[in-house]
Amino acid sequence: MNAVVLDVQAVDKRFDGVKALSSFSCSLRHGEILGLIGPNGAGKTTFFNLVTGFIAPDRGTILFKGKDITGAPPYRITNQGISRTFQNPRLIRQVSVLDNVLLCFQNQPGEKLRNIFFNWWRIRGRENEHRKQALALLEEAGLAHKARDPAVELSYGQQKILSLVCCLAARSEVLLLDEPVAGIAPEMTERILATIRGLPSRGKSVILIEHNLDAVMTVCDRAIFMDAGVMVGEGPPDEVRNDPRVIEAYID
Amino acid sequence: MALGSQLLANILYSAATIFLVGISFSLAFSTARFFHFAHAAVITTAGYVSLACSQWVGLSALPSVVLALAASTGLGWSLDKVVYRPLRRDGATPLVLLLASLGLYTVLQSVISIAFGDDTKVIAGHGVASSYSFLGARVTSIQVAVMGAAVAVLFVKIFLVDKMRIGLALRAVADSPELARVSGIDCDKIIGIAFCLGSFLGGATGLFRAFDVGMTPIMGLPMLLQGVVAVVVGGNGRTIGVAVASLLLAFLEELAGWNLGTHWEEAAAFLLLLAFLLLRPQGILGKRLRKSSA
Amino acid sequence: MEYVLHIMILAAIYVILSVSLNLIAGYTGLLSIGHAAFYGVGAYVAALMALNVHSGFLINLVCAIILGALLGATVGIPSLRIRDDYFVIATFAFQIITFSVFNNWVALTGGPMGLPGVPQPMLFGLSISSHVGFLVVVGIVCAITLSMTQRIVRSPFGRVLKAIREDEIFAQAAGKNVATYKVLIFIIGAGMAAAAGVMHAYYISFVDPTSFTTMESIFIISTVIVGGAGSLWGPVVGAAVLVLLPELIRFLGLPSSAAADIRQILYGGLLVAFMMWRPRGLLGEYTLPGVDGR
Repeated sequence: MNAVVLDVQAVDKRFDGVKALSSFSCSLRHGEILGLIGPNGAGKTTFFNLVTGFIAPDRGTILFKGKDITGAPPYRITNQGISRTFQNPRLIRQVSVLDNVLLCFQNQPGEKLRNIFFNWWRIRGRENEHRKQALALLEEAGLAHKARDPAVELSYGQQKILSLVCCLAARSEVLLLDEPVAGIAPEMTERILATIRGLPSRGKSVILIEHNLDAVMTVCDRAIFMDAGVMVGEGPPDEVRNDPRVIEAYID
Repeated sequence: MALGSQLLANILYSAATIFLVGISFSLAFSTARFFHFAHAAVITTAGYVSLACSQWVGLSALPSVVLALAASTGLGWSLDKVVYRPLRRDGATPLVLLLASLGLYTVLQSVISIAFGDDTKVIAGHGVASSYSFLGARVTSIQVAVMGAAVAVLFVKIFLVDKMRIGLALRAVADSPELARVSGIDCDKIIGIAFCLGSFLGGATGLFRAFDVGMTPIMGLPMLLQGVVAVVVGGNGRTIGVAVASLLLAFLEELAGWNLGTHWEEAAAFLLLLAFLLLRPQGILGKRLRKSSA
Repeated sequence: MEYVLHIMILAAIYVILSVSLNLIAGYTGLLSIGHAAFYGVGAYVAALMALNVHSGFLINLVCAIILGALLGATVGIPSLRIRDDYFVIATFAFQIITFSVFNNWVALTGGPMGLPGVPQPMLFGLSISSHVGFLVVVGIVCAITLSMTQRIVRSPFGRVLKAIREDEIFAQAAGKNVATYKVLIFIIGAGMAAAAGVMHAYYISFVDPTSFTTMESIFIISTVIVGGAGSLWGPVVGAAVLVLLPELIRFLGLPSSAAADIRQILYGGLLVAFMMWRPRGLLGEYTLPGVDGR
């Protein structure tokens, strides 16, 4: 058994009195791909927002590699090694694809003002290094030919891939992917799923939200079914899929 | 005693003006969702049109007032129609609309300056003279009219506009333009109506001010700004909140005027605004603003 | 010749203002109607120190920049809590309060009379008295501002600014401490504007509140928009065009009393026209500050 990297313990979150998550717990092991399924409004995205610090839980703790990150601001959580994508891809739209990837590298010396004016030679070195790595990542993702285009010109599927590349550029250990293949053409889906499947071999652990159960079946080691803010079922994806409650929820 | 009631009368009068401008501003601010800066010029326009009608054309009081109100209403409506609506169609954000509005204000104010000069103008021969004594406080007929108008607007807004179909439509557009559009409301038309109502009310308030103390081409701006402070402090779209905030603001300005001198009134108003924006952006009575979430 | 040099000096001062506002509004997407306030603070600090402390040009320049930057931080901090048009209103409040201080704190600022008699600057034992000498000094400050701006916007730091402009949530998710960047860019922009104020104070040798009004802030915004927000050279072109155009009009022989108003109509009209037909400005790379594409 690998070590637990992310440990969420009994988190509660209410919005205007409505429970979005109630005493929800789950843990993610190193190199694991965990699928999060459930109907709309089940609290999946809220869970992502809690882990990445965009909202603070009312109760409960979130541990990342044993360290308490509950309520830390989003940027600090990303700095420490948890990255996320969004259901509708978020990007700097009017800036080149390459710059989007470059933005996502962590701890860049060129992001400090003092270095810009007094240490520019060091920045230039690091920037070139990042550029090479970014181009390699884009090459691998099949976006190298788009590197100079503004991100807004990418197709929806390409934007989702770019979001994934951004997480990789951040060198995060844990990736939270919000519907990485929803609304994407089949051949593109294949490509994204293959990339996700390869993530554990790069030392990454993944939680993904997905409505496409076939996709969950093919990439996930484990699945959690949640509804109305609580965990309903958990286990190997095919077991969860055949759970009568899941079947019921998806037929409704 | 006389001093006390005079102070009270002053506060009520300036609160009434602030309230009227605030409501006139918030009509467009809540439906079209941007800072219609050029409203300041709309407020100013009414006074000058009335001046032009009575002194250049030689009309009597009533027709020139009617024409003045028609002019400010028409100006507000056409600004929306000619500039803002095409911008909205192109998907302009509130900041883009605000920038356009800054430009419009600059142009309109300068046009008035060129046409009428920068000095204070008074509308002569319009029965400004009559004034009453009430519990030792002296108030002019214009001031009484402003206070009456404010009370009338308060009631009409709460009991009629907010309850009638137009009020519901205004609110629907304010809450969610997309949803309003889906349910068959013509957003552009509703926003156009909001601009007309707001410009009419703003023009009327400007006209009252012009009758009371005269006018300058830049008089609309400080008036608008006080109204904006009341709207932010009271909570956008909350009629009673704006009324309470207007009283608070008028009181504060009077206080600052007494303790520091009248020229610090404006700074005091804006410190109040900053305090509210930072500490309680939803206003006195408002609910929490929508939070940006991921 | 004197006249040409005079125009060039003015243009250079406005280039500094335009470029610095562009860092805040064009690159980071934080529209501010308070830029003239930083400009004014720089001018007053320099004038007061030169008149009362008799300190040298460079010391005054440094002090003015530091004070402007501090004030910039206090305006930048609200941007962390308040968004979009409410933030614009907050910067506007700041502009009005600052102007009110310039205009009303007579003991310090001389009030509407201003501070006359700012001495000629001394640099390395040389007294700068000619237009040529002054153009060199302003040119150097302008060049430093531009090269600093270039360094910033082409660095990874600048990349983060653009990310904040387009999608703050994405910037946070990418691990950037958005708050720090916003405050820092306000500190830099305000410091630069204060430097422009120092140039103004020494060049005109007189400081009074009318140079730092809301209209001046709108003028600076216009130079950014007309030139092209979010591009390095756009604001340079914008400032040059908007300073030169009214001078051309002067040759048409219009009455000088209307000159200020015509200048306002010109840049207000350009602001509206650019918003409607060419929102990216003459040289703009990006559609607009604050456009969110969601």
